[in-house]
Amino acid sequence: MRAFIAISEDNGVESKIDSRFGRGSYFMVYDMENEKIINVEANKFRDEGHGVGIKTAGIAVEKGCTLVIGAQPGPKAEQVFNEGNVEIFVMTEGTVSDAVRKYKEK
Amino acid sequence: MDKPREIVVLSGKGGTGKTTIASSLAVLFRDKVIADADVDAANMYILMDPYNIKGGDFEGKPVARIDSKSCINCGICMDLCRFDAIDVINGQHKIDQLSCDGCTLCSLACPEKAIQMEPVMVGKWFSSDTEYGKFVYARLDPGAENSGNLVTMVKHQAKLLAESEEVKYILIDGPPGIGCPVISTLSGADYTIIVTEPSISGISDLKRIIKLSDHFRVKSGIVINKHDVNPENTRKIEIFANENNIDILGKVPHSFCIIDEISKRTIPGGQCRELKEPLTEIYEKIINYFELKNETEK
Amino acid sequence: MLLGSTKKNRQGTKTMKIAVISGKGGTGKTYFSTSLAMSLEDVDFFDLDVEEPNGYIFIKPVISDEIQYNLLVPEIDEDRCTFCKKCADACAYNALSILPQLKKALFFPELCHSCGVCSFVCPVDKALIEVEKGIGIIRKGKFSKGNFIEGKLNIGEPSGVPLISGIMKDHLDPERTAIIDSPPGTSCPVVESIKKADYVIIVTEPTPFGLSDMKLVVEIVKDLGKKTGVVINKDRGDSKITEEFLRKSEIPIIFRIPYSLEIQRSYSKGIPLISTVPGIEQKLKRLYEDISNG
Repeated sequence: MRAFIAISEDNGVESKIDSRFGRGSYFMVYDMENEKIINVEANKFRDEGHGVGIKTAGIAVEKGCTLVIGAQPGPKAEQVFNEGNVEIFVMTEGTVSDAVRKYKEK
Repeated sequence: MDKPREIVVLSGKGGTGKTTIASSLAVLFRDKVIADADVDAANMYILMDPYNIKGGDFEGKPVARIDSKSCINCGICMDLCRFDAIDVINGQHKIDQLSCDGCTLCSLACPEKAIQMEPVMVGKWFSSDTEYGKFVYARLDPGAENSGNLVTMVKHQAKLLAESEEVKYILIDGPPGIGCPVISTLSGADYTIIVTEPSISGISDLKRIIKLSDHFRVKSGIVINKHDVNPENTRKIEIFANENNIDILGKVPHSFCIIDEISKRTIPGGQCRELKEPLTEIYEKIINYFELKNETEK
Repeated sequence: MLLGSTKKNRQGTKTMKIAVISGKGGTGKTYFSTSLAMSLEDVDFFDLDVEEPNGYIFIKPVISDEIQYNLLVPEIDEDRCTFCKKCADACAYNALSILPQLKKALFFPELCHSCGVCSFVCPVDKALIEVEKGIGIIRKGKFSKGNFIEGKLNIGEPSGVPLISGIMKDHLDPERTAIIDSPPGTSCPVVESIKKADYVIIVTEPTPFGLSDMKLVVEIVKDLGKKTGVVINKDRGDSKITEEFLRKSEIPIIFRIPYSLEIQRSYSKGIPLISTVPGIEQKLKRLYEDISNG
């Protein structure tokens, strides 16, 4: 399973989770089974005025992610995830490795 | 260090006393950064008296501009524009930047590629020092449209400061309404203080804000301002809060002292007895909430 | 242009279009504008505070018509759509989300500004068509002194501007006096609501907050080249900083509403100003006369 994680810095599995979903600084795609980072890219939509969460959610679905870890997405981004059958795991602080551990413990 | 807790003050409609409550709380909270995210009517600076002000420009959504040298005045753009933003002045097609909505249709349609989208400066953001701690605020130019973007910028700057100063709280005076700017304010917040008035429209505004706050899973509490002006509506708000399991953080009476202090540009919390008591109550309830939360999280 | 554009009605008196604005909500804009309208004869009251129209609370109109106001929005036929994403990429408001893997096209009407870019860029015949969608309701009716026209934006709509300009285009009668209750704030909807006004009344509170907000609307009114005057609400006789600013800016103070708990109480119960303060009706009538005589 691929997870989509909005992070505030690019620092591998020690990257901090961004407290905003759509306007997070970077996106990480993470392979949950093999516990490795697939890729990290800067969020080029973060400075747009409206509907940023929708764009971000679209990218997550496009990258084949079925899990989103991070801040609560807005109502519209959540609708995109529902359409794509993407699970949302809300976590607003800690690092990527904390989040992966917590998700597996749940 | 723990992540700083974001406390947001919201109101639904303007003029309910949101800024008064937010700035008075700013005096009570120690260990915090203050942010004014009400960028349309940024008023908090009046009471905060900031100094060491630094900041930068804020770019808005790009709007169209016609390069008159390449334009052949074919009028295609004018026919397509749904915002009546294109006029012909002395035979030359021109964009009225106040009416342009930035949709880009004209620039896509122009056969001569004579229309470019160009960003415009729509405001400024500032970070500063005050007697009560670091303070971040912004100002949108009159006539410019507010977006979540400037709010996010203010919150981001406040957060950077909160991290470098290692404070526990970020206290944010939020924008009115329930639109995109409010969504940006609520995103990532830990507590919403909703300031309401016992007027007819106050209650319906209150319900809309609570719905939004619930969506973001942000804990909310209500402050009833000028509660004694209409005891009947105040009771209605209390019943509503009770039924929905929302805390009433405090009730502030109507007070000339508060207005007098604001007129003198001082924060009324310290000076007005009738405000002091409910404020302390509000403050303690919020602090207790976070202390309990910290305990259970450990 | 300003006063020159006013027409005379059947009785031969001048008819003015007066917009009432305020820098932010809660200054008493609606409280003032409703009583101004109720003090006049043969007048149309427009409630253009479309996000929160509450003039009716004081005016108490009898509503006879409700008209839906429509805009064009995209509708995507997922059987024809090739999910090329051109529409979503072109949309400046992020109102479309195209998910090619899932063969889904999502549309978020609350973000759509009805600009038409999506249908312009769509390369496939009939995959994306534009359909009418209601963004709000225009309610028309009568009150004791004339016609009542109100715009009410549906909850979640992004902008009141199209509804406001639609009402002004279709329902503003050049032959009649109109009192226009504008939206609060300093953004585009306010600009739209005062474009056709002959005179703009700014309602403010004499506090540093009120002053800071008023300075912003004064800039807008000056940019548009409108004649203007200020109403000081909650006046307690110590409005010095506000008065000084207005004197420097050469803007007259045309009316004062005193600060009293009695007024606040009757406001919270929906009782209009003219029924609360004796003699104020005559003063409002005179104010209108003064404005229309320039």
